[in-house]
Amino acid sequence: MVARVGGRAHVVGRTAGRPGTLLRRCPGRSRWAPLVVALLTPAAAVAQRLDIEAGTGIIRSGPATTAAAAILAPTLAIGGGDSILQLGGQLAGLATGGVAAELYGTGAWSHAVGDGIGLAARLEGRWSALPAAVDVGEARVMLGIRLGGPNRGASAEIGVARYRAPTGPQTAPQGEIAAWSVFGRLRLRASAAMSAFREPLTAPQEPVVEPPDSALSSEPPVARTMRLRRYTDAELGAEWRPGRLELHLAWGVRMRDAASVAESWGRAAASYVLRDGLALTAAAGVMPTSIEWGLRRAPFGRIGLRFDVSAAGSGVPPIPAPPGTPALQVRNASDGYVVLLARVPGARRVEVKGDFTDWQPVELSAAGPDLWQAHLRVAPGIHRVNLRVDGGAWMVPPGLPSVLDEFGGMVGLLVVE
Amino acid sequence: MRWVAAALCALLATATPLHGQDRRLDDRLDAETRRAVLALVDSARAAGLPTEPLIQKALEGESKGATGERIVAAVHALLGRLREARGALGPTAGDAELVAGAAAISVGVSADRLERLRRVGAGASLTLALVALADLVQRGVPPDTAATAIEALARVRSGEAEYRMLRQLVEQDIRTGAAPAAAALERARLITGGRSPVIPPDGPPGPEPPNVGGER
Repeated sequence: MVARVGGRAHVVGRTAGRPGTLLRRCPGRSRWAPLVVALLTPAAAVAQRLDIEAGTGIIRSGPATTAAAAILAPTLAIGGGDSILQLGGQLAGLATGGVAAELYGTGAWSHAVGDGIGLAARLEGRWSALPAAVDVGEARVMLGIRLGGPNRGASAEIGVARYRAPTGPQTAPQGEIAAWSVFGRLRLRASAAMSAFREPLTAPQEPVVEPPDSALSSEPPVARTMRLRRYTDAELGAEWRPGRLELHLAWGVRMRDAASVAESWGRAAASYVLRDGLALTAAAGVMPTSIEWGLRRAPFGRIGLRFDVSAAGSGVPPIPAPPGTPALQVRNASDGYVVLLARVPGARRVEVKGDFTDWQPVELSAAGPDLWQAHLRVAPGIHRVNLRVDGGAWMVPPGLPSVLDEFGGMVGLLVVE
Repeated sequence: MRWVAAALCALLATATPLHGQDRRLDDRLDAETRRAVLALVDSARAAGLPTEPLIQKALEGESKGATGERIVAAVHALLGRLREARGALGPTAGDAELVAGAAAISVGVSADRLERLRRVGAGASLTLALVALADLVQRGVPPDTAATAIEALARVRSGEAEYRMLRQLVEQDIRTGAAPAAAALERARLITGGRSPVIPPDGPPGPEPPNVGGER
């Protein structure tokens, strides 16, 4: 279907086999509307961030085909810092007829065990379907270790994936290593994901004869000729966020796959914040072959609008952030409070504490790309404040004047006029 | 009518913290530390000094895991600096100016330099000037040199943008190996050199280009 930048390519099943059950029961597009509304209404109440993206583009429509489509893709993010849950989906009305659907979810947890060292766990699930095609899906559990922090670090994870593939269900080991570094507004990431998958042998190669799953099976024993494919997907990615623009680039290559020639893929995506909660988005690229789901390498592209439901109505336009702008700023609000705004690139959770919070941590809410905000009573004057990003150490907000705090650390000085 | 008056008095009594009390401290400080802090708060109140910074200093210490002894010492030191700042900045100084002055004193700026800065006439921007002064000293600029640089900006009625620019440029120079004192004086000279403020639309300028040919 559509490849989202920052994640793996999303794919759907082949045209032969049992049709997608959900789509078969609900062939009309209009029947999706109540379901979407029912899901999004309670979600909006608990979301830290709820995005809905609507647009049009070219998506993968089958094992070797693409089609034009109208796309609706909501994404819900809850939590932040050490615990994040992200749920999403996509409905695409194909110009060739029918509706393609996809649901996915990711939960990630980390626990610090030392200075700059943490244990991590990740649970992922994905389901995808096309009209007149087999539903496919996968679930993955990964455990690993993280070194460093949000600005520079590395991770190593191992785990297991369970596929619901067109060739039947199977379980396969997984491994992934990654490293990342932030240079100002540029974030770079490199990763290598190791996978293994058994597939039916269709070419005259050295076979691996696999016995039947169970000797007690009522079915007659049939030797299935399978081959084990081990491969590594290496990928380099870059994120650049100058002001209202957000740009993602990625390039990857498949290595060590003896059953096919090496292939590469790439994608580029951009978004531009038009106003508070509304952004123009575009993406294009080439999706890699999906060995597990039998899909060929394919191009994709789309353009649309992204509406941030959780930020809508806050009345706080994003701050243009020229070099040198302090990370923490104050704007007067109409209700006697002030809006405290923090510009923190790449953060998942931002907290402040200071004399205007009686030195109790206050979590800021997402208000746009890299922008966080809180409505607080802050009297005119000089205030002492510290900032914490993603549960890390309390620090002086970048760009603010600072002094020693007399308790072994530093504190920022915020002047409110 | 008497019942109404009594009810109003009761309401005021519960709503207004009495001397020697602050509910915010009750749950966060032990009894001994709380008593010592409140005694210092009463002293500040008697001297006409702001009390809220002292309470916040105690809460900050508690928030950062400091011992009671250290919290009391920090509050006591802050009270002393507020007194010193009041002496330097005069009886008409506002709370924000006193707090900013106390911050400058805490990093080593003398009361004499604070008084000089007030006389220069920073006016409404005195708080900003004092904050910038404390920041420069914190970054390694000698207190008197930092005060000289800040006074230069105060004389031309600089505002928040100029003080911020000075701080950022000096920080940048120090990071690239410049001597803090030289960086502060040179950047202050640069910023005050023109009659109009130097505020490029895309942020502060980078380091000066090399003096090719020695023309200057």
